Amino acid sequence: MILDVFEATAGSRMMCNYMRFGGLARDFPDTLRGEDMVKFVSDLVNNRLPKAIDELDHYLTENEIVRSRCIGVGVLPPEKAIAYSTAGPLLRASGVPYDLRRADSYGIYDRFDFDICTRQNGDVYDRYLIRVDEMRESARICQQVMRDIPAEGEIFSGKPQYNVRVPAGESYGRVENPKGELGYYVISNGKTNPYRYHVRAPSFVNLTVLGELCKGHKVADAVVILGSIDIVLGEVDR
Amino acid sequence: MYGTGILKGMGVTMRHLVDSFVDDMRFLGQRYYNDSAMNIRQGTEGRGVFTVQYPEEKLPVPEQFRFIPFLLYENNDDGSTTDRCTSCGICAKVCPPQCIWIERSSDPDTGRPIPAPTNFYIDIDICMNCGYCAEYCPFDAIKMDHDYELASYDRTDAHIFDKARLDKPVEYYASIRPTDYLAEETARAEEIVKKAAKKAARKEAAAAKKAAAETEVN
Repeated sequence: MILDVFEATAGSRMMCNYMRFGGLARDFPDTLRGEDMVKFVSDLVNNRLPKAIDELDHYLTENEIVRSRCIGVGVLPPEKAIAYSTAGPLLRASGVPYDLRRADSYGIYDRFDFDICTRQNGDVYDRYLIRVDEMRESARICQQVMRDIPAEGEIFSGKPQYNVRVPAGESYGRVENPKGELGYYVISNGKTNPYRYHVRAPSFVNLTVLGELCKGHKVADAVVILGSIDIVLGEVDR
Repeated sequence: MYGTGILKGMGVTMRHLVDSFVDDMRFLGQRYYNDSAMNIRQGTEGRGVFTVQYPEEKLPVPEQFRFIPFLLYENNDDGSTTDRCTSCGICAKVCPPQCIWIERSSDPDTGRPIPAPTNFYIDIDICMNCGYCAEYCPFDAIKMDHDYELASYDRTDAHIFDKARLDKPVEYYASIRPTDYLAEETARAEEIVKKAAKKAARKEAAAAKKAAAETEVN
């Protein structure tokens, strides 16, 4: 249903391509599945998502098989997590309360009330728990968004341009994304295309600790540990 | 007690199973192959399994859904057709994976270019459905389609669409994207009104100037 909302607003389920320099591509549609769009999304974030997260929690958290495979496996101590410059859930599961939305607040995140979740043990089970916690926090942010979203407003300011000329210079921008810290370093020489750019892909950086985490465990555990790092291969292998 | 967690998890699965059957009763056996039931099943009130029985029933695509561009032509009253495309090449320029190739046409006698494409190719294997071509086309000549079933047995050139394959009438566009079409039509009508007003104003100004000059001469 989240993807349905994406599809109805942006036109595509995965490659949304909804943001532009200076605004968004278009407005929300009026209806989805014969329902009012705002009502649909409000219902989704207020009822469906919390219920689905609770169900997942109920389904897995107490499961003895999950617990025996996850607790104490792949422990990442906080010093090592920082030394490997991991970010996101991996870092927070090791007990470091670092989230860019708080540490270097950007966008409109200062308007929302949400907690930075941390866990203390840094094993696979904690990494699972932190993701459940963060899903709850995300749902909370979405609820506040739906409460505060203005009914009308400017969708796109300025003239639509397909080749934006950027003044010469260099810049680094970073955001918190589900896997960690996503950063873009761009050097411009005043033309429409960047002169050089580099992407700090969180999955790639997080993957570097895999070898460290797997030490002393069985081969079967390596799969669990890799799963707990939660990589996106497209991001690792650019 | 060991195993309670597993049993609890199984309970969740069991509840989903029961929910599906209860839901079946709600629709009195009309759960599938039924558009109104589909909207409820896939909406916020949906319970039980969400499976869509794909080839028999399809999820209705929202209006903004985009998949592979197509070209628009207008049907004239005398049965002929006019392409909206003027082969200006903006779509080919904005296309991030560079999958559009336009062959421009020229007058056979004078050799000067005329604003209509001889041929227009889109390699749909490369196209990534971003929709930039439709967004930046100044003539509303290229738009994104809703048809997503393009599988074929040929992998050599069946996926390089030429103009004959891409051309679709404006009426088709109006049927798949009614609100967009309406907005564009009103915008164009306004433009025409504005242009006419401007022209009239210029004419008036010229007439006034002429009259003023005449009075001066007199």
